[in-house]
Amino acid sequence: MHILSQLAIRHPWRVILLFAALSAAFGAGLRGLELDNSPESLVPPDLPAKLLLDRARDTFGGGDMELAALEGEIWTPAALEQLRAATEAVSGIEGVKRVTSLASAKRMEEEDGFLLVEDLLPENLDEEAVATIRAYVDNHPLYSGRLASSDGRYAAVIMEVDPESDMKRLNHEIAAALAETWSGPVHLAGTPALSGYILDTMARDIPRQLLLAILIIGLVFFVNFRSQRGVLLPLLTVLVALVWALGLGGWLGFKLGMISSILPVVVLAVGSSFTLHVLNRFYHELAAGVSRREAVLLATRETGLGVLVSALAAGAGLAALFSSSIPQIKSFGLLAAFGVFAAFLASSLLAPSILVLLKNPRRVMDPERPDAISRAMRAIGSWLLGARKMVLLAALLFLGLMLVFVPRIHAETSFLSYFPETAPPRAATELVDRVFGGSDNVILIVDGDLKDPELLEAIHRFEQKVATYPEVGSAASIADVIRELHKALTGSYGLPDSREGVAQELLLYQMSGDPDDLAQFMDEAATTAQVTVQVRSLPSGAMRDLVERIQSDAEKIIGPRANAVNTTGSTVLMLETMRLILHDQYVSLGLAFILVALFNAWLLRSWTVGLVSIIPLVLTVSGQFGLMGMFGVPLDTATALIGAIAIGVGDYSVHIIVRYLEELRRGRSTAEAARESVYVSGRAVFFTALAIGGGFMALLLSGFAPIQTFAKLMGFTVSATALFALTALPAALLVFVHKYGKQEVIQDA
Amino acid sequence: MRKLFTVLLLVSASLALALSGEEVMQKVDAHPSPASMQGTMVMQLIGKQGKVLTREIRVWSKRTATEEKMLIKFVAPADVKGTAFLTIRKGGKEEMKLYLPALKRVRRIAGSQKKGSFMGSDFSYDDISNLSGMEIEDYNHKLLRTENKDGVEVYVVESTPKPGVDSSYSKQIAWVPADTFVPTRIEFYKKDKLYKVLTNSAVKPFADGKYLIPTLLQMENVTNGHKTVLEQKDLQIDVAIDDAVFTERFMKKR
Repeated sequence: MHILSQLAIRHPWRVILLFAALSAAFGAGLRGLELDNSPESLVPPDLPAKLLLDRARDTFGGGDMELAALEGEIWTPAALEQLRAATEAVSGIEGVKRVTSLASAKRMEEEDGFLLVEDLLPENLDEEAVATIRAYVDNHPLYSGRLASSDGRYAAVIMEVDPESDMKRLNHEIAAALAETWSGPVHLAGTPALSGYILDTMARDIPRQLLLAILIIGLVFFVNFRSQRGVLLPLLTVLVALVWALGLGGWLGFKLGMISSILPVVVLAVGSSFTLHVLNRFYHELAAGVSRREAVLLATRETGLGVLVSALAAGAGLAALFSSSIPQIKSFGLLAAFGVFAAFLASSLLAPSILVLLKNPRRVMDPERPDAISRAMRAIGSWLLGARKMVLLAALLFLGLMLVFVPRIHAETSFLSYFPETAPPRAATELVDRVFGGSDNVILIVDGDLKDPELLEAIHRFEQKVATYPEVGSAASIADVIRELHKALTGSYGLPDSREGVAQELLLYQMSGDPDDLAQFMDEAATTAQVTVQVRSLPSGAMRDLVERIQSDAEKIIGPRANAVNTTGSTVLMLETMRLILHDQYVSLGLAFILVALFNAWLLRSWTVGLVSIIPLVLTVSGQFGLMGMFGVPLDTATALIGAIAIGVGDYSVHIIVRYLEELRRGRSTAEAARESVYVSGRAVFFTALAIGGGFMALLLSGFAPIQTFAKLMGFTVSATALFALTALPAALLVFVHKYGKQEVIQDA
Repeated sequence: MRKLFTVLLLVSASLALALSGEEVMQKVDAHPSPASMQGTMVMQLIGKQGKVLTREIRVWSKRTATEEKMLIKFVAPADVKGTAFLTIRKGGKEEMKLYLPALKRVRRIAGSQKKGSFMGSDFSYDDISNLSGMEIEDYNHKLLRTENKDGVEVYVVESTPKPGVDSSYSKQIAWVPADTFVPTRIEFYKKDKLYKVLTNSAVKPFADGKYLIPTLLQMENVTNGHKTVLEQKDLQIDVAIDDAVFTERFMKKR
């Protein structure tokens, strides 16, 4: 800290130039920053279900399913013409790999002794043709209820889209193409549509939240310092940190997902608290009549240790997220930790350099002046001396109570849960689920001899079984195609009774249509098939239950005739995300606690102090999870971060410890040290909590339900850490820390 | 002055030599089409990952001024052996029959197969019937450029369907060498995006050089990376084929 403060005082211009140059370099990376919230971005690339899905996409040429429900009276020539135009229009969009609708469907039936194979929609559509088509569709298990609703009010356009595409652009283009060709309302559902909505929401939310956070934090700083530079300087340092962090993300080619919309606010809130401490001391010294240079030196040197310790703890808490197996959380942890590090550098180098160059303010107000808040702190300090044991006991009881509720926590990762109840994507998804039996799918990959009629029969039985589940709309596979063909050839539904029969009927199908029609169900060599089970959008728990039933049915019914049966699909990936989130939570939290305790023990030269220092954090984190368990708040990609972020933002209690130890070193009694530390640092803790908490409140504006929940939980977190830092922490210090080494802590660091 | 004259002479000479797109395609079309063909086709279906599936068929075809007949019989793989497909085109009408040995029945098929896939390959029925020459009067032809390949001038001609013509493609670009006028490469475009590429090779003379026929054809679908290699073997041209070949009886015969 000494070196840093000397650097700032001796070469302020060089420091400023260095920061400007680095900010420009990092800032250039901002252009490379991309948004992505696909299911793929949420799972590790080497996850077996992900590898299987990649293989399936490669073999069957499909993608993620997006479903458009076109609303209106569909059984009219005009409507079918529009449907044809709509199908044509979306087929031409880059990233749309396959489109299925009545307009792309084939008609294959027996007519006047002929096997009729032709496009379902003839060139010229009149009333009579429409009536024939309707009759055919109503009796066709693959089309009825899947491509046209049974009441004739909705037509489906099922699009398979390349999961690598830019979902934002893709969805805008799809919506525009459908609006242009279809005269009625259009409802878009499915994972890609939700991804598109998510990206739109992010693009809208991030600047709004950032601006509001800046306003709130600025206001808190103004109340504290009553000066322009007291507002602008902290904001400048955090904006520098933000540019560095996001710029680094751009240079590293990171893609930001839903949770990354929290990132700017985290860096802003955590980072601004650093400068708050430095400025507090600076104004305090100025008010005491010290020269400007001397005040800067004292401010950086003496508050430096506290800032360094809390920066390290914040960095460690956030960096612990890097242990997550979820790529999105990993990159969030890395960038947030880097942002905190940058904010530390800016507050201990850039801010002092600017303070050295600026003239003294005309009017100096001591932020540590006695006021209502400091009077309250003095009262708390005195009360604690008598109540230390009771406070610790209460803390212990609180911990116990909260831990009881922790096991009740459940995880939730479905995209639909991202949206508040009233958001448009929810309504569209519910409509599609109701009308077409599902907007999501579970994919079953069957390896085996697909010309074997018994295997096909087993697949068909499996489809019938899963279709009885209320969450399942329909299932489609090569077995259905062959049954349909067999009916057209022989007049009755069924499967050929020999391998040759299957091979020949398949050949006939290939000869009469686009080979791509078959490719979506089976590979050319007939060794791998894809069975698509259309399912409703469900919460993660219900989805896990359904996927387990589907997998077990598949193993029981198809398993004995096949070489292998496996489930995958974006739904399965989301479930894997859920499993990983739960698992990672323990690892990253454990790691964060250990790191923080180690840093504190090392910097403050005492194991006892290190352990005592994490008391407020342990209480807060167990409080968070206890409350989540109590109120049924799910653990999702956003709320999975709160533990680590609590550790990151909550370590301002270290300022109290540093002060306590300093007082002990000066020979004061434990009682005096405790009272003094609460009195002096309490005010800073209060304002830091206010700034950080206020900053996080900006996230209440988010269009994502998990982030709104996150913001509310952060409200609790910040108040709780402040409360525990001012009560349980000094009580624990009074009970456990009586002696302290003779070294000067501040100088040493 | 002399120099200018030489330049003018060269320019006018090259103008005289160069053919228009229309003329190039007329020369392509001027190749006579055989009245009958029979032979074996080995079809390799090659997936994006390089997996190869081989099919072997026997083909008989015959054409007169009023009628076109084609019979296809599968030889391999074993599970489709004996499957037969008969097409008779007469007076603008098309009759198709199919025999699946496993069902032991001949079925008549209705509906247009023109744009459908030929035997599950990357060729459509249209592509196959255009191999012996497209209906050049249905298209506008434009010479894009000439290229030089191994000392032979190659015309690159773009053909776009005339208004009202129902074509599978929005345009085609053919590479036509000046020595044979048998296209070596044709690019097929859908909505002006490259869709498929046909490569013709092993062009062999038949019937004492009366016909020039490519015997190795490769069609690649660039949108999905799938391709089909067709090799024509023991091709016999203008041989007498009994009309009994194009009957249900013959279809059922193993």
